[in-house]
Parts: sequence; structure tokens; C-alpha cells
Amino acid sequence: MMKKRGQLTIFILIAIMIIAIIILFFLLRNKSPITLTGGNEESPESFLQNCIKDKFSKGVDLISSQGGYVSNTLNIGYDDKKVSYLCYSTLNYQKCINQEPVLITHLETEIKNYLSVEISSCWDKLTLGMQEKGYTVNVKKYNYTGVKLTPGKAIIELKNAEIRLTKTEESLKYNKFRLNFNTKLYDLAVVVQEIVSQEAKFCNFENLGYMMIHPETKITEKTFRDETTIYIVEDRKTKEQFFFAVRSCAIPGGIG
Amino acid sequence: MMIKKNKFNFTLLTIVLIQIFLLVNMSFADSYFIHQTDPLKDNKERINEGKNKDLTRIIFNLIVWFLSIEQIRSVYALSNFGCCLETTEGAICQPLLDEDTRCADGKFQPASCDDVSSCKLGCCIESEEGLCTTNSPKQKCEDNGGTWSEDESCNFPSCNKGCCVVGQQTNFLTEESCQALSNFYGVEKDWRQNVKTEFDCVLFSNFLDIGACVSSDMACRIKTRNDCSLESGDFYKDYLCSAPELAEFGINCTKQDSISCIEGKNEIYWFDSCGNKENIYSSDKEFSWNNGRVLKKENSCNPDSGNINSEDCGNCEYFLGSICSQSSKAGNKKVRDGNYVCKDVNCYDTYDRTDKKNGDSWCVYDASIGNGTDPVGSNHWIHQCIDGEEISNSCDIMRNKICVENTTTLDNGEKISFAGCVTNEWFDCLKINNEFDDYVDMKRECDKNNHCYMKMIWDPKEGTDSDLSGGIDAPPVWQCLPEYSPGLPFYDSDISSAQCSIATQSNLKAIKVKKCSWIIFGSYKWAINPVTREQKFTQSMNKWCTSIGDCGAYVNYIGVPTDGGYKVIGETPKLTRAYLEDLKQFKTPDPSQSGKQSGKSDYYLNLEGLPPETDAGWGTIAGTAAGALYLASSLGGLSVTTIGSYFAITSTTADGTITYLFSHTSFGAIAPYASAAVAVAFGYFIGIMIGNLFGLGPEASQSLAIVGAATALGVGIYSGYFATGAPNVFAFGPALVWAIIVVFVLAVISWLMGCGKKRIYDTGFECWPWEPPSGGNFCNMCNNDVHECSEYRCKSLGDACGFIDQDTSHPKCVWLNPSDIVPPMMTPWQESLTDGYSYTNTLVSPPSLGTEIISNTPTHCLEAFKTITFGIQTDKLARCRYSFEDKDYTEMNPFTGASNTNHTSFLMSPGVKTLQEEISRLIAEYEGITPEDEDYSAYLELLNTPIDDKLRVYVKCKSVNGYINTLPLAIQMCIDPEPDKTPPAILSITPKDNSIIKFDAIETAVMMYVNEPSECKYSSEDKPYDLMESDFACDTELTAGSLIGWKCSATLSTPSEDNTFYIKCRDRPFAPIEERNTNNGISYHLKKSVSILNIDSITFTYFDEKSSKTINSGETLEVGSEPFSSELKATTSGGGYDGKSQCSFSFKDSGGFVDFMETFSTKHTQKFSFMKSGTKELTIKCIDDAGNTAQQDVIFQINIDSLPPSVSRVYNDMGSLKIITTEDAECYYSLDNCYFNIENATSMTSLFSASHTAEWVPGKTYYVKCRDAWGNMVDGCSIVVSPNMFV
Repeated sequence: MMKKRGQLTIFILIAIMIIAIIILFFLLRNKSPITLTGGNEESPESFLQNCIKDKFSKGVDLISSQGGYVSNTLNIGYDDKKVSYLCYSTLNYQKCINQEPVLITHLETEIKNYLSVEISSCWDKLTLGMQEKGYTVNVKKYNYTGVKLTPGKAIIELKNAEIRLTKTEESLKYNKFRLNFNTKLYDLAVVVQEIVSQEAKFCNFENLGYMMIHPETKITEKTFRDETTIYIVEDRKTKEQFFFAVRSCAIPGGIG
Repeated sequence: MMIKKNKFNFTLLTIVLIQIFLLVNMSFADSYFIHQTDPLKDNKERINEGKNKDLTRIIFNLIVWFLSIEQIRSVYALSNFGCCLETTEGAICQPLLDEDTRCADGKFQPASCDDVSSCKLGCCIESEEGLCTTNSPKQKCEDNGGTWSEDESCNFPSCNKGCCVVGQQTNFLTEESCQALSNFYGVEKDWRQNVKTEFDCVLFSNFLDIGACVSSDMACRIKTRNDCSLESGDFYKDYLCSAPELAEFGINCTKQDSISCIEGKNEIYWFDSCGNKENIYSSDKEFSWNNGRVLKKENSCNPDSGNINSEDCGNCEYFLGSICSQSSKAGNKKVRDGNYVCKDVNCYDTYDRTDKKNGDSWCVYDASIGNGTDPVGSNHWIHQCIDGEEISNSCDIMRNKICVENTTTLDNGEKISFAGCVTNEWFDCLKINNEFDDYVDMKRECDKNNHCYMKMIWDPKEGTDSDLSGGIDAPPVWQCLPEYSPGLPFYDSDISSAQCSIATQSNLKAIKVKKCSWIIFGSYKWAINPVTREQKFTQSMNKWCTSIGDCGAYVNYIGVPTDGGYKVIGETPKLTRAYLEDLKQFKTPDPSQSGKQSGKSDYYLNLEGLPPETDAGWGTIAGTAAGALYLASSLGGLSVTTIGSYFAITSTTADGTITYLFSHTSFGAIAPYASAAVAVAFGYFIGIMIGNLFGLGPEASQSLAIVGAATALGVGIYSGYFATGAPNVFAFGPALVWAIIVVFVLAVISWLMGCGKKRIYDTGFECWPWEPPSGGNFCNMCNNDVHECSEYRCKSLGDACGFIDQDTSHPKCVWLNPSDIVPPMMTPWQESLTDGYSYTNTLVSPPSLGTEIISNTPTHCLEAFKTITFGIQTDKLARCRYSFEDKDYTEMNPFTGASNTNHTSFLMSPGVKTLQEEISRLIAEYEGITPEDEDYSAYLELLNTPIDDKLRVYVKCKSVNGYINTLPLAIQMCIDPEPDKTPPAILSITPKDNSIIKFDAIETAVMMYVNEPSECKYSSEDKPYDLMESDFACDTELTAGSLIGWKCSATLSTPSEDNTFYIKCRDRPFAPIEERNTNNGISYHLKKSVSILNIDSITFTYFDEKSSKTINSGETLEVGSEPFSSELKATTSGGGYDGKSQCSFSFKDSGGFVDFMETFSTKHTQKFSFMKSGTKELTIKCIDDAGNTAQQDVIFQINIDSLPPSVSRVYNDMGSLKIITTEDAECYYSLDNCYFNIENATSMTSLFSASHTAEWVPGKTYYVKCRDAWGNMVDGCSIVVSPNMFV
């Protein structure tokens, strides 16, 4: 009888231990990052996001105000901006030729290139900051895959970004960072592409009709010298703007 | 003949001659240089040959020919263009001429961009996003990861848009874009291709099945049926989550917990406590809640109103002027139950003091429009009301587009206005003048286009003596003018000068003839162009001038008139001050005026062949009738007298007197009367003949005829009676003799009294670019305007206005140097002189008074017939003019260019000797001595008084602030005193030597230009000039030349396959023969085409990304949708150049012919991006360089297949499920439902066919979708099949 009781007790103890271990495992697993970097400290992902944020905004503003380019020789001066031509015809009376037919991919490339130094710098800051906080930082790889523009936001992905943080016996490993930034650049670019496409097709874009169906978008046209039209596409809610220029079916003064 | 030497002011005459010469030439100068740059001029010469018949038309056509048509056409005709892969600016794939320096080094390909693979234009599809962009270069597209396809307009299924349903929102996207968006939101793609427009797609969201979706965890969300099924929820159509019926499932959402706006929606919505959207807000909560059921927008409160600022209704409607907004952004107005309101987005008290609705667009004009009245600097503006904001945009900076407005009344009585900018087709109007000689043709073409109107400029016969006018063949001068005059860069006037000169008529002559109504008594009567000496002619010319652009005397858009843009010649009066004042009326827009669309296709057939409808037009008809009557009566008289003469001769041959003859005939009793009648007729005839021989004019000749007839009658009766004593004898012989004597004597007296002599008056009007007012008092008005300022607008306000900060969003128009009151300083500009010439000094004037131009020839003089450029520079922006006497600035001629610091012009002198000859000739002409007179040469010799060989050009300049030099800068040069020793040179000949001419050409018109006034001959053999048989008709007068030379023309007989001619010319037509120079001539060859030109084939091709179909004339083509991309192709053979030709096409009833996009070869191609279905009747016309033409009519029938394929039969075919469709299609099936993507489904078809097969599996349900070659497909399933149903 005693044997049986003892046996039962052992079983119960073992069960309790197993349950305790399981509970402990889950507890430790969920809380370890917070413990690792200190309860109030931001995560590496947040750190990178905050570090890149300003540069990202600046880059998007610059690229948006210059027709989708950080710099481009085919441009027209407007205020202090060099607004790029996205559709251009050197000759008069001719429909314009699309200069950037895959605009969204191009924008992603421009932003990627613009941020590459900053991302590298932020990455360095992250590792340095962690070391200053007493972590042993082990960085193996760094692969900046680029920027993905989507409706309402831009996503920067750092794949294969293998970083291992170790403090005392605890360690943590990150493989992939996904940084989200709110921007209407994608949505504006879709409108821009539509305008360019219609200019290349009809020498004209009917902005009023478009705005009536899309009240969230404001499109302003400015007829400029050299028979150029500067378009300003604006998201009414966020006030983000995209400037670009078109020279299509230009009719010079007189018999030119 | 007694010759008296008249006293003439030879110096003055020399100046006058040179001035006339230069004036004539200067007008052409710019045009000529522009023309020389045109690679297509040779083609056009051929096209225009043989058209011109009268002088006015010749001048006009020549100018227009030089300028307008060539310039524009050269843009479209790309045969000489290559492809620039990248310009220096960075633009890719630009068609440019090989010499164009804008192409970066090494980036030019001598082929059309379509033939350069990297630059081939097509449709670029951004695969991941499904975005299609047109006119995209291949390489750039593919380099960036796009998929390129050949149809540059993206007219194929994968780029067709449909309605993409994502949640409760709809977007008009391509299928791929819809997929991308659905992926992004993590929902199944729901793309409706049968929704064809974006507007329908917006409305489509109202027809989605919406309802409560209860998930397995008892959460309730408002979703579409499709979304709910994807989440495996239970869908309760039209139920709100607050519906009491759902409470029994444990749903506990309280109704109408809050209100808010929703992105993408216009209205204010209620939300329940679970955060679900409910119905449109109404303060009547029960009504809005609708017992927990979805309430459609049209059933919600006040659906026909925008409910602007309503406290009770949140049914906002953007199209009716409202949108949901937070109260803080709408003047703190709000509905009763929350801080939202339907914000007013209409526009109030707009620019034209009216209220407009959201989405309205309307036209605003700065000033008067239409009828060629648009003032300088004025624009057509399109205003829009959008989201409560009034936006204005100029249609075009220089009125190349005009604003057209329409108003529509809605069913509820409300009016909406919509406006658009359309291309101002002003150029077509000018082109019509060049293309048509005949008034009826010209009017018909002009009337086809609402952007053009016909105007009679002047009638050469208006005001002429009624008897004289009938015999003059000078029709009224009509022009097809632009309804909306275009803007011109008058401040940069190379283009402006050229365009304005179209309306220059500088060489008109008003001619009076001394009409002697009774032999010697008479007076001078107007024969032609008297109206050119009247104010109304100047005004009419100015109207022409101002209509073709910013030329002439006109006002700017603020109503300031200036008159610096024209010059009158000779007797033509200047415009009056009252006229200029009257122009101010055009600054005010007429509210009743609105731009019109060109309506080019409207063709008023009833006008064809009808006489002009204006008074002037009827006058023309009356004049023509009078002329015809005159001619008829003359012919009648001639035939009578001829018969009489014949009869008389016969008689006199028989016996000597008519009496004798008739006395031996049975008609003896009437013989004396007959002979008298014949004598009278003869006397009359003699009078006419001698009158005409002396050039006395019709009236004096008529008088002489009457005298001749009377004399013959009187003498015949008198002599007969007294000679024979018999009362009925008529002395025929003496009657004739005395009639001749009397008529001749009287004719001599009449001639000496000057009957029939002419007085010639120089008249004319030169049209120059409009000049802005001096100074800059009004510059600031450009900045203070609601409408955007532009350089064009700014400069129209004042010559001293400058447009600064152009590269900013706030450019400004400013008075550049308001305090400058000093006239410009002028400096002879050495660099402007032609090589081999130099100024003796380049001192600044003032104080310098002038300089001299010397050449490096031994005489240092300007060589005969050599054109040189000369110029001056000013120390500030100025307008400069010159003349050959020291005149007032306003009387001088302008240098080329507008306000500038560099001023150039051209000079060409014929040499002293030639000038002397010309002067002598003019004097002789004035004296009535003609080359036919025996002493003509001696007379000319006698007149050869030495003339001044110095020529002075006086220059004055006006600063932009209006200050003019008091003293001119004089530029002197000597004219070569030596006789011209060089033989004439043939500068050009058309058709060119060794040209191929038409296959059936029996004769060929040849035109050539010689470098000096000459006479030219030709022969089929090489022989001395004097032995050559045939003459060219050459312009021999000095003033008839232009910078391209003096014209000679002839029609050469070309009977053989190879025709050779020898052409020689002799200069100085009025000089003694021994002083004239004859050239060695040229041999000239014309070869006939080997055959006629043939159009071998004409095909019409439909194409999309996957397929193409070609049909011939008479065949039918079926396509899937419209518009679609297509191609018209023609091939040619034969002619003079193995089929190489220029082809054009014309759709029936669509107006004129349009050149194929690719032509000038044996293959001619035209792409159409937006072709629609229907019967296409076309005419194809081709012409080769030899002038061979071919024309062919074709007809193509194009039908649309818009129906999806349907299933006609389903059966078990030997154990397989077989489906037969009504047309070739591809079918796919799913075993789940009808909402599947066929790209991921199982195919039942290997190729497009009517038969489709799948495995027969009893118990399963096949959801089948079929799609035809055009992408037509039903939204749901084509058929749902359960094999259990079949045995």
C-alpha cells in the first residue's frame, strides 16, 4: 500500500514538475526578449525603424517632389525642385514617350538606393548600442533586399540579417527585419502612372473627371514654359504630393 | 521721233528703286532661310507646281509655301528622322534628325525608333501590380522587370479594366491589379470584367450583397457575401449586427452607438457598439436603423439632395456638392448626434460672379474671342469647382487650345456646366488658302471647320469704272482665316515675322487708265485696285494680319492698342486713330461668346457650287456677268464685221464696185443698201482695230469705230451721188479709204492726248509682328490677376516688362528698368557682316554719325546681285529700324527680331548699271516708249544719266521704354559702278536635272531661278542662244526678284522616254545687246517613269497581345471589344521609283487626306489605337516623286463579338464529360463554386475550340466557366454540371 502511495506521489510530483517545466518554458519563452533588452528598451526592429524614419521621410519627400528621382538630368526647374519628366517628346506635335514605364519598381529602387547608407549606419548604431548595453553582439550577415511599396505604406525588409544578442546566459537571434512606414507613395504612383499613360495616349489627362471619382486625390496642372505641363498629385488626407513633368503633343507659338 | 529729255531726280529714283527692291526681298528673307532648312522642299515644289495663276495668289502662295505648310509637315513626315537612344538631357528613344545636336554622342541610330529594338514602343505591364502603361520603350520596360507587348495603346485583355471588389469597396483595375490588391488585403480576388467604366464600378458597390457575417466565435461583422463565405461565417443578407434577430445567436451589438465618416465613402454612417458600420445617418434614428436591416442610399434620408450642413441627414453626395467631414473642417456645423456634417463642396461667387456646383467646369475668357478678335496676351481659361475650391488653368499659353463649354440641364432642372480645352485648328485655315485656288473649293473646305471663317480682303474691282472693270480679270481676294487667332512669341520674333508676313501684300498697284469716251476728250478712270488707296483696305488688311496671329495693329488683353505692327506702302493710307481707339472694345469679353469645337466632320454639302452669299460676293457675280456681256458683244461685233469684210472683198475682186456686182444679180435693187451696210461695218471694224492698235482703251476705240462707220457711210453716199449723179449709187472704195484715213488721224490725236494711258500707284500693306506698348506701366497687372502670369502674357503688357523667377511657382512680371530714359547707343556690329565685308569704323552712335561698309574687292563696293548681311548692336534692349532716307522712326523698316541688343538685316544691290537700265526703262514706260519702238534703245541710252553710286542706310532705335534716337546712325556703302560682266547663273531648276517625270507626261512644267534678271531660251540641241527656238517666260524686272532669284518658267514637250534640253540665259534684258552677257547654259534631262503607279494591296489588321487578323477589302472582321488596335497597310509598285511613293488615306465623310504614319516607301502603314467597329470606307491615294498618282477605294466591315460563349450541349461522351459551346472558347472548371480564377482552375480545352472535355466523376459538381478568344466570359458560371444527372 505504502509502495503504491509512494509511487502515486512520485507520479504526481513528476506530473507537477512536467507541468511546471512546461509553464516555465512558455513563461520564459514569451518574456525573454523583454528581459534581455531591459523592460523599457525598444526592440532592435523598433530601433531600426526609428533610426531610419527621418531619412525615409526625407527621401520620399525628395523623390516625390522630383518626379520619382533623387536626381535626373531630364528635368525642369520648379521652385527649388528639379522635376523629372516622366513622359517626354523632344519634338513638337508628337505624343510623349514614357520615360519610366515601370514606375513603382523604379520608385522602390530609388528609395532603396537612397536609404542604403542610412540603413547601414543604423545597423551599425544598433550593434554598437547593444554592445554599450552590455550585450555580446554577433552579426553574421546583412542583406538589404529593398523597399516594397504597397497601398498606404512602404515596407523595408532586411532578410538574412543574422544578429545574435547575448547577455549572461541569455541570447537572442534575429533573422529578418520588416520595417513599416506609412506613406501614400504607392497610391500616388498609381495615379501618376495613369496620368502618364493617358498623356502618352491622348496628349491630355482629364483631371476633373478623375478627381470626381477619386475625391481623395487632388490633381493640379501647371502649364509651364517650353510647352511642359507640371502635374502635382496630392493625397487630400495626408497632404503628400508627387510632382512630375510631361511634355506631350507640344504646340509651340506660331508655325514652329 | 522727237525725244525730249525729262528732268528726273535720279538720286531719289535710285533710292526708291533700291528701296522697292529691298522691300520686296526683305519680306522673303526670313521665310527663305527657314525654307532652306526644310528637307522636304523639293517634294512640295512638285506638289505646288502649276497652281498659281494670278499675282496676288502667287505672292501669297509663295509665302505660305515657304513658311507654313512646310514647317508643320516636316514635323510629321519622319522619313528623314533617325532614333536618338538618349538625348543630352537624358530623354530616351526620341525621333530626331541626324544633325540634331540634342542627341548625345554615339546615341544616334539612322533608323526609325520602331526599327530599333530597344526603342520599339509598346505597352509595358508591371506584372506584379498589373499596371499597364502606353507608349513605353521596350528595353526600359524590360530592364525594370516589366513585360513588354507590341500594342502601344495597351488594347488587350490583360490591360482591360474591370471592377475589383475588395470588401465593401470597389476599384476599377486590371485583373492583375485586382489580384495584387486582393492579396494585399488577404481576400479572394473578385474582379468583374463586365463592369466597363469606372463610374459604373463606383456604383457597383451599391449592388453588392451586404449583411451580417457571424463567425464561429459568435463575432458579428458587416461583410459582403463573398468575404463572409471565405471566412466560413454565416451570412445574413441585409441584416445589421444590431438586428434583434441576431441576439439569439449571442450577438450583442448595440445599435447606433456613434457616427463617423468612412474612407472612400461620401456619407455619414452610424456605427454599432461593436464598431460595425450601420446605415446612413439620420436624426430619425428608427428610420435610419430600419429595424436592423441594411438601408440603401437611395432609400435613406433626402437621397436627391447633397444635404449640405444638414443637422438631420448624413446622406452626403459628392456629385451633388457635399461630402462627409469632421465639423472642425466644415465651419463647426454638425449633425445632431455627433461632430460630423455633410460639408459643402460647391463654389460660391466664382471669378465670373456665379455659383458653381462641385464638379462644374466652365470657360473664362480674358477678352473678346472668335472672328479673329482674340487680343494679344489673352488666354482661354478653364475653371473648375472641385471640393469647394475654384481652380483655373490656361488651356494653352498661346491660344493653341481654346476653351469650349456646354451646359446640360438635369432632370431636376439643375444645370451643370462642363468645359474642355480643344486644339485650336488655326493652322488648318491657313493651309486651306494654300491648297485651294478656286473660291468655291476654298469656301467649302473652310466652312467644314468651325475654327475657320472666310473673309474677303479686298476686291480689285471695287470702285473701278463700270466700263473698265468688265474686262479685268481680277477676282476678289478671299482668305480662310482662323476664328480664334493664335498667340505668337512676338517678343522673339523670328517665327512671328515669318508668320505675319503671310498677310503682307507689298507689291500692289492701283491703276488708272485715261478713258476717252469721245475720241480725244476723256479723263482718268480707275481700272484696278482703287480700294487699296482707301482706309477700308488698310483696315481689312489689318484684320487679315491680326487674325493670323499676334500681328499688325491691335490691342493687348488689357485694351492698350499699338500700331507698330504694320506698314503701308505708297498710296495706302495708315490706320486712323479712331480705328485704333475702336480696337479697345475687344478687351471686354462678350458673355454670349463661347469657344466652338472644330466640327471638322460636319460638311455642309448645300454650299457646294453655290455662289457667295455676301453682298460682295454677289457683286463679283454681277461683275463677271457684265464682263461676259461685254465679251459677248465684242465677239458679236467681230463676227458681223468679218462677214461684211469677206463679202466686200469678194465683191471688189469681181468688179471694183459693189454696185456693179449687184446690178448684175437678181438682188440689184437692194445692192446699194447692202454695200452701204458693208462699208459701215468695215468703218466700224477699222475704228476698233486702230483704237486697239494705239492702246486707246475700249471707250476711245468704240468712238473711233462709230466715227469710222459714219465716215464710210457719209463718204460712200456723197461720192456715189456726186460721181454718178444717180441717187441710189454707193461709192464703196472711197468710203473705205476715207474711213481709214479719218480713223487713223483721230487715233493719232487720241494717242497724243493720252487716251488709254495708265497711271500706276504703288499700294500695299506689310504685316509685321505686333509691338507691345513701350515702357512697363502695366507689367504688374499680370501679377495681380487671378489667372497665372506667363511670359507671353507679361510681355504683351509692355516692351519693358520682364518675366522673372520663371522656374518657380510664383513667377513675376516686372518693369525691368523703369528709370531708364536714355535712347539706345548704336554700334556697327562687325561680326554680323558677311565675310569679305567690313565697317570702316565701329564707333558708338551718338556721338558717331555713321560708318561705311567696304568689300575686299578692288572697287570696295557692294557687288552686283550679292546678298550681304549687316547689323548693329545696341547697349540695351531696343527695337531698331532702317530706311534709305532720314525719316521718322515710325516710317522706317524693322530689322529682324524684336526687342534685342543684336539687330541684323540683309542687303542686295543690282549694281549701278542695272539700276540705270531699270530707271531708264521705267521712265520710257512712263513716256509710253515701248521696246517695239524703233528708237527704244537710243532712248534708253539717252536716259543713262550717271547716278549716285553711294547708298546710305539710316538706322534708329527705340528703347523698350520708348526713347528713340534723335540722330540716326548712317551706314554708307558704294554700289559697284562697273557694268555687270558676269553671265547669269541658273540657281535652281524644278524638276531637278535627271528627274523622272510622270509616265503619261506629254508636257512638263519647268520652273527655274536665275541669279539676276535675264531672258532664257531652250532647245533640244546645243546651239547658240540666238538660234534657240523656244523661250522661257522670265521675270525681267529688277523688282520682281527675291532672294532665291528671278523666276523663269516654261512648259517643255516631253514625248520621249529620255528628253534632253539645252537651256541658256542672257542677262540685262533692257541693255544694248553688245553689253549683255550670255551663259554657256546647261543640259537638262527628264526621263519618263517606266510604268504607272500601282496600289497592289490594301489590308486591315486587328491585333492584340496574343493574336492578329488581317482582312482585305470587302471582307468582314470580328473583334472582341472596342476600341481596339489595328493597322492599315498598303503596298505600291511601278511609277518612277519602283513603287516608292507617299500615300495618304481618307475615311469617307471625314474630310481631307492624312498621310500614312510610315510612307515614302513601297510599304505604307498607319496604326489606329482606338478603332471602333462598323463599316470603314476609305480612299487611299498615292503619289511618287515623278508625279504619278494612284487611288483606290476600299471597304472593311468590322463587327464586335461582345457575347460570352454559351454552352449548347452537355453529355456523357464515352465516359467523359463533354461540353459543346456556341463558339470557339476555352473552358475551365472548379469543384467548389463559381467564384474561381480560371488561371488556377482545371482546363477542359487544349486549344480554342467548341468542344471541351473533362473526366466523368459521378457525385461531383462541375462549375464550368468558358471564355472566348476576346476574353468574353460570364461573371458566374457558364454551366453547373452534376454527372449524377446523366445516365
